[in-house]
Amino acid sequence: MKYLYSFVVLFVPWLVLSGKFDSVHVGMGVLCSSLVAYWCADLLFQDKAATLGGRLRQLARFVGYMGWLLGQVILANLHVFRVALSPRMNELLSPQMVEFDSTLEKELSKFILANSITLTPGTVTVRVEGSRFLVHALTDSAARGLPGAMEKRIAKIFERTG
Amino acid sequence: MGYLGYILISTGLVFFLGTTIGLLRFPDFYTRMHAAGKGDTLSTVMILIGCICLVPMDLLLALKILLIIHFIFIGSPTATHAMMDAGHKAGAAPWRKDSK
Repeated sequence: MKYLYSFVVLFVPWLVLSGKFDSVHVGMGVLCSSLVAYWCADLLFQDKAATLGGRLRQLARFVGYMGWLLGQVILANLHVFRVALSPRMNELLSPQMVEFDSTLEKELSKFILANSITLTPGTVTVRVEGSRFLVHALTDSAARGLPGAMEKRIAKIFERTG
Repeated sequence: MGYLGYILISTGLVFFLGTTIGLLRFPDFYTRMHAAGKGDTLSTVMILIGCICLVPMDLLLALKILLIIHFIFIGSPTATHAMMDAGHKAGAAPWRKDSK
């Protein structure tokens, strides 16, 4: 089953990127995708317990999360914009390093939490070691908001299967 | 649809301007990375979505641009994170309010 998943994951981008639907190009795509799927399926799908429905539900939740994240990115930009253009910039800024322990367990969810922290207002991830996050915050209020609602959202999407 | 494209591209450029001003005005390496890491992502995405709106009938092109947006969304925070970590490892001291 994992071979089929890998094949689909590889073949759809092939079709989109090549943009040609004659037998030569599609045939090459099928050949390459099946070879790579045969060799590398173990890398892409390590979670053997998940069912197809579970994977699709996870994907749907992830798309919803992306929507929420996009809103946060816009807020983050307005925040940087406001601080950068303020004539009293030095009063608004109070940069600081914050350390906290995350409860997330999977590597993927930690990676997504780190990237989400970077994209949300006033915080950038500096380092992740084990479950210890080192985060640089631009202002006091941003530092107080860590890790906040984001960690719970990510835990809801990626830590449970099914 | 065309006008929406122009509006999105202009907004993206305004955000780029804010990013650049932040990059120039912020006091140290870390705060500058805040401006660069966040501003780049949103303004690039806005300009690319604007490009989709300008050529509305080409589904394949839209899908390709969406793929680019997807990779920018993954790549840009990761690159910011790598540079922040490199600066931290090299011992760049964070700017503090009382340091000057």
